[in-house]
Amino acid sequence: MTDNIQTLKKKNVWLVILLSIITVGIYIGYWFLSAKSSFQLINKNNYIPFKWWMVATIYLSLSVILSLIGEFILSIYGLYILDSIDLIFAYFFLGLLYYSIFRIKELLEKHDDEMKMNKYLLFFFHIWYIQYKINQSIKREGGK
Amino acid sequence: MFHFRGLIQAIGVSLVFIIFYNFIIGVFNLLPVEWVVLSTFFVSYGSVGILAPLWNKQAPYTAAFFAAVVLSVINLMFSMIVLRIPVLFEPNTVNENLLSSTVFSLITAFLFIQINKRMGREHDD
Repeated sequence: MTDNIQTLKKKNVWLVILLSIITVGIYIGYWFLSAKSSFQLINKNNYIPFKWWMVATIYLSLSVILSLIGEFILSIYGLYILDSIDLIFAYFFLGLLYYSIFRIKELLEKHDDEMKMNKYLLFFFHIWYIQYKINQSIKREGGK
Repeated sequence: MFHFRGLIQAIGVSLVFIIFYNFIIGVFNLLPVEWVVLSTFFVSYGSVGILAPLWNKQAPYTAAFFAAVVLSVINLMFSMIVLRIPVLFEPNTVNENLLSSTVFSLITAFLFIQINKRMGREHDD
């Protein structure tokens, strides 16, 4: 059962945290998309909405670009509207993030008997905590 | 698995509730304007916090959260298009609106789920 978890890549948790902060969240979308094939190998019927993660990653990338050049091409009202639209999408992506990480929790716990995730730590540290748990699982399996 | 249909159902029924509630309040002139606004907030996001988990049993909190966000966006659109209030010019107001609606909806969903669990346990006993 744990063989498929080996398909998930080991990544430095500190690097994941750093990249998530530096890229203002774009890396979180990339993290889901890069792990898509591995999660699908673990269970074909997984319910993680990767298509929506594609949308989120593209939107976040465009939003960062637009916020950088916005001051030169938009009026003050345009910037306010952009901020408001960003906020609305941020709430949607927040919902998407928490839905996805709890589905990953169910998926990994079902396929790795030794993996137990704390739901509170998962709530506060989302993909960072999942990556930490994946690293632990890979280390454990590698050590056997 | 998340049921998109359940989410739409919850939002739809909640909107019908709001229309019916406001119709009754308006026809009989039961409350002052401030209380109408406040009670409409509680009725709309409270009902969505109960109905969304009811039709999305595997992801109740996600359903309550998304339903509250969608309902808030509908409210914002209504304010902009019908009432001609430029709400998007004030990102802080948009944030306050989304935050209060999602928090209230999630609290209602949490209470509803806990009460349901307790009632289920009592039935088992």
